[in-house]
Amino acid sequence: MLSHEKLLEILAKSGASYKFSNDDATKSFKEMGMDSLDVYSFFTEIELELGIKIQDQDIPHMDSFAKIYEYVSNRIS
Amino acid sequence: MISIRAISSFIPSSSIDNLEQALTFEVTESFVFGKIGALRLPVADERDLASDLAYQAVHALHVNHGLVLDEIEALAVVTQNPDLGGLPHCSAVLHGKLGLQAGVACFDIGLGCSGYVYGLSILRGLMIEANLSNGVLCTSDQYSRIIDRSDRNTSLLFGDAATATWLSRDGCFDFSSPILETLGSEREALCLSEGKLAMNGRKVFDFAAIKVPAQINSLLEREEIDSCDIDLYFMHQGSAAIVNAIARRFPGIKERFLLDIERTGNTVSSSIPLLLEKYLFSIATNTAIISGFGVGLSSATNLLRRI
Repeated sequence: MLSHEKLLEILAKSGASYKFSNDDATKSFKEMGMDSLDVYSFFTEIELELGIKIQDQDIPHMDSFAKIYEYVSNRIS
Repeated sequence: MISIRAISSFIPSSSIDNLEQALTFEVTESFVFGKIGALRLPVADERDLASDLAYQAVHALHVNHGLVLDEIEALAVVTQNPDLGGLPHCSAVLHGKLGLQAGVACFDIGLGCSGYVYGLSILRGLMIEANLSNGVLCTSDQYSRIIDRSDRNTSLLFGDAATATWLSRDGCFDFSSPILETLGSEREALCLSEGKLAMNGRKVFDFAAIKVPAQINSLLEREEIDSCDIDLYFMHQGSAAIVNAIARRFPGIKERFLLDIERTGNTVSSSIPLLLEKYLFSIATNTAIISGFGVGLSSATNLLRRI
């Protein structure tokens, strides 16, 4: 079972330097000020930490923390 | 022992202002500084071919380091943009332009960003096999010719450059056996499409951020060296984001991963020798890791040691 805290820890390891609040979960990454490479870096870190492969075709749908959480939770459950 | 004796380079004087270019794509200044890292992208004169850029780099080796052109016995050119599509091979064209004697082994290596690491070992292998004393490994690419200037993914990254590395029996840096890998199933992540470069940025980023640290660790393990005992890490300068993503895997020594692409951008197979020319020969450097990765998707890593 993936916890929010674990995913936040992965986000921090990906090099993200901003403070994440609960309100941010449903904001788009763009609204949070993350650029495309911040998001790539987050995906890479998820793949390394959780041992899953994020497919290219799934990426356009994962534009917020909440959506990534849902996607990853489904993949590892 | 065949080893690295000296390195020279040629960077075209004309260049693109990357901040200005970024505005046309609505890319922010902070993204250019922090993620791309290149403020200027050198562009070769449209009359200059890969052999012309390489000529300038070899000439600099002659002027700055005393390479006697008549003593060159092997000449290799790493390029993906050879003159006339590679027929005749670019190294033969360069041989002619330099006016070298006939007894020179010339060949091209058609690799991208991993090409320099491959090239060192290929040229050394040939020199040992043919009992040669002086060889020159050139890297030369003008990606400006194959960039679609309306493509944001590639326009902001690549610069033109050439380098020349002198391998000889009395060099100062030896190199080990490389680790070489290819992921051909992902080759379309970086390839030509209708004559222009197309890149799946996420796949290339993923490949570099995962594969390269693993390859470096494999090499360190094989050589029985701790990562802290390496003075400098010379990564292919794909972008600031890629170099930083690799460096993050080595906490505590991140600052040893050099990043210096402000004036050059990603110069493909030239990026490692450009860095080596600038930083390897300082007195404080005794051991270094070089790692090239990109087109293929191909990756290559090796260890350099001061003799």
